[in-house]
Amino acid sequence: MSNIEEEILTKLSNRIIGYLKDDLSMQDIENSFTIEDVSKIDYKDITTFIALNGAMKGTVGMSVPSSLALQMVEGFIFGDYDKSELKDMSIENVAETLNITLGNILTDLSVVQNGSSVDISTPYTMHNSTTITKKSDGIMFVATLTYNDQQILLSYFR
Amino acid sequence: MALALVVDDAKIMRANVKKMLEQLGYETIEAENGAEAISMYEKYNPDFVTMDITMPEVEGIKNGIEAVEEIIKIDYQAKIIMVTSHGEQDKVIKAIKAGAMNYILKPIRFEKLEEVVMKVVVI
Repeated sequence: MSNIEEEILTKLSNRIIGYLKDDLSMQDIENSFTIEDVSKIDYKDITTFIALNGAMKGTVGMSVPSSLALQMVEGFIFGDYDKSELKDMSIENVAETLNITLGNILTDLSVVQNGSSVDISTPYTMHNSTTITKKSDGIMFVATLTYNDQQILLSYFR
Repeated sequence: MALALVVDDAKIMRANVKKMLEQLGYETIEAENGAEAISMYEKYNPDFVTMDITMPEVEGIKNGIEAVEEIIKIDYQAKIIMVTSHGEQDKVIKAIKAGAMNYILKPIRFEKLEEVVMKVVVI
Protein backbone atom coordinates (compact mmCIF):
# COMPACT_ATOMS: atom_id res chain seq x y z
CA MET A 1 0.00 0.00 0.00
CA SER A 2 1.38 3.42 -0.90
CA ASN A 3 1.41 6.23 1.61
CA ILE A 4 -1.36 8.18 -0.08
CA GLU A 5 -4.01 5.43 0.16
CA GLU A 6 -2.99 4.59 3.71
CA GLU A 7 -3.06 8.26 4.64
CA ILE A 8 -6.57 8.99 3.37
CA LEU A 9 -8.12 5.85 4.85
CA THR A 10 -6.30 6.27 8.17
CA LYS A 11 -7.27 9.94 8.53
CA LEU A 12 -10.85 9.28 7.40
CA SER A 13 -11.21 6.31 9.78
CA ASN A 14 -9.93 8.32 12.73
CA ARG A 15 -12.18 11.26 11.82
CA ILE A 16 -15.26 9.03 11.55
CA ILE A 17 -14.48 7.40 14.89
CA GLY A 18 -14.24 10.88 16.45
CA TYR A 19 -17.38 12.07 14.66
CA LEU A 20 -19.43 9.08 15.82
CA LYS A 21 -18.23 9.53 19.40
CA ASP A 22 -18.36 13.31 19.71
CA ASP A 23 -21.15 14.35 17.34
CA LEU A 24 -23.46 11.32 17.24
CA SER A 25 -22.90 10.12 20.85
CA MET A 26 -22.02 6.61 19.61
CA GLN A 27 -19.41 5.84 22.25
CA ASP A 28 -19.19 2.13 21.44
CA ILE A 29 -17.31 2.67 18.17
CA GLU A 30 -13.99 0.87 18.52
CA ASN A 31 -10.83 2.97 18.32
CA SER A 32 -8.95 0.39 16.26
CA PHE A 33 -9.52 -0.46 12.60
CA THR A 34 -7.91 -2.49 9.83
CA ILE A 35 -6.89 -1.43 6.33
CA GLU A 36 -6.55 -4.10 3.64
CA ASP A 37 -5.55 -4.27 -0.01
CA VAL A 38 -8.46 -6.13 -1.66
CA SER A 39 -9.59 -7.24 -5.12
CA LYS A 40 -13.31 -6.75 -4.44
CA ILE A 41 -15.56 -5.18 -1.84
CA ASP A 42 -18.89 -6.60 -0.68
CA TYR A 43 -20.69 -3.48 0.44
CA LYS A 44 -23.35 -3.28 3.17
CA ASP A 45 -26.99 -2.11 2.80
CA ILE A 46 -26.31 1.61 2.30
CA THR A 47 -23.26 2.84 0.42
CA THR A 48 -22.26 6.33 -0.58
CA PHE A 49 -19.44 7.36 -2.90
CA ILE A 50 -17.58 10.64 -3.34
CA ALA A 51 -15.18 11.17 -6.24
CA LEU A 52 -11.83 12.91 -5.72
CA ASN A 53 -10.34 15.13 -8.39
CA GLY A 54 -7.29 17.33 -8.68
CA ALA A 55 -4.03 16.30 -7.04
CA MET A 56 -5.60 13.07 -5.83
CA LYS A 57 -7.95 11.04 -8.00
CA GLY A 58 -10.16 8.13 -7.07
CA THR A 59 -13.38 7.27 -5.29
CA VAL A 60 -13.96 7.15 -1.56
CA GLY A 61 -16.86 5.06 -0.25
CA MET A 62 -18.64 4.54 3.03
CA SER A 63 -20.91 1.56 3.60
CA VAL A 64 -23.03 0.62 6.62
CA PRO A 65 -25.83 -1.82 7.45
CA SER A 66 -29.34 -0.29 7.65
CA SER A 67 -29.55 -0.84 11.41
CA LEU A 68 -26.38 1.16 11.99
CA ALA A 69 -27.52 3.90 9.59
CA LEU A 70 -30.65 4.27 11.72
CA GLN A 71 -28.59 4.62 14.90
CA MET A 72 -26.43 7.22 13.17
CA VAL A 73 -29.38 9.36 12.09
CA GLU A 74 -30.88 9.18 15.59
CA GLY A 75 -27.63 10.68 16.86
CA PHE A 76 -27.45 13.31 14.13
CA ILE A 77 -30.95 14.68 13.85
CA PHE A 78 -32.11 17.63 15.94
CA GLY A 79 -35.66 17.34 17.28
CA ASP A 80 -38.22 14.54 17.21
CA TYR A 81 -39.17 12.45 14.19
CA ASP A 82 -41.07 9.17 13.85
CA LYS A 83 -39.32 5.96 12.88
CA SER A 84 -40.39 6.01 9.21
CA GLU A 85 -39.07 9.56 8.75
CA LEU A 86 -35.82 8.58 10.43
CA LYS A 87 -35.50 5.53 8.18
CA ASP A 88 -35.89 7.73 5.09
CA MET A 89 -33.36 10.23 6.37
CA SER A 90 -30.87 7.55 7.46
CA ILE A 91 -29.86 6.91 3.83
CA GLU A 92 -29.09 10.56 3.16
CA ASN A 93 -27.33 10.80 6.51
CA VAL A 94 -24.72 8.25 5.44
CA ALA A 95 -23.92 10.54 2.49
CA GLU A 96 -23.74 13.57 4.76
CA THR A 97 -21.51 11.71 7.21
CA LEU A 98 -18.99 10.91 4.49
CA ASN A 99 -19.33 14.40 2.99
CA ILE A 100 -18.67 16.11 6.33
CA THR A 101 -15.83 13.87 7.49
CA LEU A 102 -14.06 13.74 4.13
CA GLY A 103 -14.36 17.52 3.92
CA ASN A 104 -12.94 17.75 7.44
CA ILE A 105 -9.77 15.77 6.62
CA LEU A 106 -9.15 17.22 3.16
CA THR A 107 -6.83 20.01 4.28
CA ASP A 108 -4.88 17.55 6.45
CA LEU A 109 -3.84 15.41 3.47
CA SER A 110 -0.15 15.74 2.63
CA VAL A 111 -0.86 16.57 -1.04
CA VAL A 112 -2.96 19.56 0.09
CA GLN A 113 -0.42 20.52 2.76
CA ASN A 114 2.16 20.61 -0.04
CA GLY A 115 0.15 23.21 -1.92
CA SER A 116 -1.98 21.13 -4.30
CA SER A 117 -5.76 21.07 -4.22
CA VAL A 118 -8.17 18.15 -4.10
CA ASP A 119 -11.83 18.61 -5.02
CA ILE A 120 -14.64 16.37 -3.85
CA SER A 121 -17.86 15.67 -5.73
CA THR A 122 -21.35 15.63 -4.27
CA PRO A 123 -22.13 12.16 -2.82
CA TYR A 124 -23.80 9.39 -4.82
CA THR A 125 -25.69 6.90 -2.65
CA MET A 126 -26.96 3.38 -3.28
CA HIS A 127 -29.52 1.71 -1.04
CA ASN A 128 -28.78 -1.96 -1.63
CA SER A 129 -25.79 -4.17 -1.07
CA THR A 130 -23.47 -4.48 -4.02
CA THR A 131 -20.04 -5.82 -4.90
CA ILE A 132 -17.38 -3.80 -6.68
CA THR A 133 -14.38 -5.51 -8.26
CA LYS A 134 -10.98 -3.89 -8.72
CA LYS A 135 -10.02 -2.87 -12.27
CA SER A 136 -7.15 -4.89 -13.75
CA ASP A 137 -4.82 -1.88 -13.52
CA GLY A 138 -6.55 -0.33 -10.53
CA ILE A 139 -6.06 -0.18 -6.79
CA MET A 140 -8.61 -0.93 -4.09
CA PHE A 141 -8.35 -0.66 -0.31
CA VAL A 142 -10.87 -1.04 2.45
CA ALA A 143 -10.82 0.07 6.08
CA THR A 144 -13.08 -1.78 8.51
CA LEU A 145 -14.42 -0.06 11.62
CA THR A 146 -16.53 -1.81 14.25
CA TYR A 147 -19.50 -0.60 16.27
CA ASN A 148 -21.18 -3.18 18.51
CA ASP A 149 -20.30 -6.07 16.17
CA GLN A 150 -21.52 -4.10 13.13
CA GLN A 151 -19.03 -3.10 10.47
CA ILE A 152 -18.50 0.25 8.77
CA LEU A 153 -16.55 -0.10 5.52
CA LEU A 154 -14.53 2.81 4.18
CA SER A 155 -13.05 2.25 0.75
CA TYR A 156 -10.73 3.93 -1.68
CA PHE A 157 -10.33 2.78 -5.27
CA ARG A 158 -9.39 4.03 -8.71
CA MET B 1 -41.54 36.74 13.44
CA ALA B 2 -38.28 36.88 11.45
CA LEU B 3 -38.06 34.65 8.38
CA ALA B 4 -35.05 32.46 7.46
CA LEU B 5 -34.44 30.77 4.11
CA VAL B 6 -32.65 27.43 4.53
CA VAL B 7 -30.83 26.25 1.39
CA ASP B 8 -29.29 22.78 1.11
CA ASP B 9 -29.55 19.94 -1.39
CA ALA B 10 -29.65 17.41 1.47
CA LYS B 11 -33.10 17.10 3.03
CA ILE B 12 -31.63 15.97 6.34
CA MET B 13 -29.43 19.07 6.57
CA ARG B 14 -32.41 21.33 5.79
CA ALA B 15 -34.47 19.49 8.42
CA ASN B 16 -31.77 19.93 11.05
CA VAL B 17 -31.17 23.63 10.39
CA LYS B 18 -34.92 24.34 10.18
CA LYS B 19 -35.58 22.66 13.55
CA MET B 20 -32.72 24.57 15.17
CA LEU B 21 -33.87 27.91 13.75
CA GLU B 22 -37.46 27.24 14.74
CA GLN B 23 -36.25 26.52 18.27
CA LEU B 24 -34.54 29.93 18.16
CA GLY B 25 -37.88 31.48 17.27
CA TYR B 26 -37.52 31.96 13.51
CA GLU B 27 -40.02 31.06 10.85
CA THR B 28 -38.39 29.08 8.04
CA ILE B 29 -38.80 28.38 4.35
CA GLU B 30 -36.51 26.09 2.35
CA ALA B 31 -34.90 25.62 -1.04
CA GLU B 32 -32.98 22.60 -2.29
CA ASN B 33 -30.70 24.29 -4.83
CA GLY B 34 -29.24 27.67 -5.72
CA ALA B 35 -31.75 28.44 -8.48
CA GLU B 36 -34.69 27.77 -6.18
CA ALA B 37 -33.02 29.86 -3.45
CA ILE B 38 -32.82 32.88 -5.78
CA SER B 39 -36.49 32.71 -6.71
CA MET B 40 -37.51 32.11 -3.06
CA TYR B 41 -35.44 35.11 -1.99
CA GLU B 42 -37.13 37.32 -4.58
CA LYS B 43 -40.56 36.11 -3.59
CA TYR B 44 -40.30 36.13 0.22
CA ASN B 45 -37.45 38.56 1.02
CA PRO B 46 -36.28 36.60 4.10
CA ASP B 47 -34.41 38.25 6.98
CA PHE B 48 -31.44 35.93 6.46
CA VAL B 49 -30.32 32.87 4.53
CA THR B 50 -28.31 29.76 5.43
CA MET B 51 -26.70 28.51 2.21
CA ASP B 52 -24.89 25.22 1.61
CA ILE B 53 -21.75 26.01 -0.34
CA THR B 54 -21.60 22.81 -2.42
CA MET B 55 -24.76 21.85 -4.28
CA PRO B 56 -25.41 20.26 -7.68
CA GLU B 57 -25.88 22.61 -10.66
CA VAL B 58 -29.52 23.48 -11.37
CA GLU B 59 -30.66 25.95 -14.06
CA GLY B 60 -27.14 27.25 -14.56
CA ILE B 61 -26.46 27.98 -10.88
CA LYS B 62 -23.46 25.75 -10.13
CA ASN B 63 -23.18 26.10 -6.34
CA GLY B 64 -23.95 28.20 -3.29
CA ILE B 65 -21.39 30.85 -4.28
CA GLU B 66 -23.16 31.61 -7.56
CA ALA B 67 -26.48 31.73 -5.69
CA VAL B 68 -24.95 34.33 -3.33
CA GLU B 69 -23.80 36.42 -6.30
CA GLU B 70 -27.32 36.41 -7.77
CA ILE B 71 -29.06 37.15 -4.45
CA ILE B 72 -26.69 40.08 -3.82
CA LYS B 73 -27.70 41.48 -7.23
CA ILE B 74 -31.32 41.38 -6.04
CA ASP B 75 -30.55 42.76 -2.56
CA TYR B 76 -27.07 44.04 -1.80
CA GLN B 77 -27.92 44.00 1.93
CA ALA B 78 -28.88 40.32 1.95
CA LYS B 79 -27.69 38.49 5.08
CA ILE B 80 -26.27 35.14 4.03
CA ILE B 81 -24.53 32.52 6.20
CA MET B 82 -22.58 29.87 4.29
CA VAL B 83 -22.72 26.27 5.49
CA THR B 84 -19.51 24.45 4.70
CA SER B 85 -17.13 21.64 5.55
CA HIS B 86 -13.75 22.28 7.12
CA GLY B 87 -11.84 21.63 3.88
CA GLU B 88 -13.60 24.28 1.81
CA GLN B 89 -11.78 27.44 2.92
CA ASP B 90 -11.16 28.61 -0.65
CA LYS B 91 -14.86 28.41 -1.39
CA VAL B 92 -15.72 30.28 1.82
CA ILE B 93 -13.39 33.13 0.80
CA LYS B 94 -15.07 33.30 -2.62
CA ALA B 95 -18.50 33.32 -0.98
CA ILE B 96 -17.52 36.12 1.42
CA LYS B 97 -16.12 38.11 -1.53
CA ALA B 98 -19.43 37.52 -3.32
CA GLY B 99 -21.30 39.05 -0.40
CA ALA B 100 -21.92 36.34 2.22
CA MET B 101 -21.65 37.69 5.77
CA ASN B 102 -20.47 34.70 7.76
CA TYR B 103 -20.10 30.93 7.68
CA ILE B 104 -20.66 27.89 9.84
CA LEU B 105 -18.87 24.56 9.70
CA LYS B 106 -20.54 21.16 9.42
CA PRO B 107 -21.48 19.34 11.58
CA ILE B 108 -23.72 22.18 12.73
CA ARG B 109 -24.17 22.47 16.45
CA PHE B 110 -27.13 24.35 17.90
CA GLU B 111 -25.05 26.72 20.03
CA LYS B 112 -22.76 27.63 17.13
CA LEU B 113 -25.68 28.27 14.77
CA GLU B 114 -27.30 30.48 17.39
CA GLU B 115 -24.05 32.45 17.78
CA VAL B 116 -23.55 32.98 14.05
CA VAL B 117 -27.21 33.87 13.42
CA MET B 118 -27.17 36.41 16.25
CA LYS B 119 -24.06 38.07 14.75
CA VAL B 120 -25.63 38.30 11.30
CA VAL B 121 -29.11 39.33 12.35
CA VAL B 122 -27.97 42.24 14.54
CA ILE B 123 -25.79 43.79 11.78
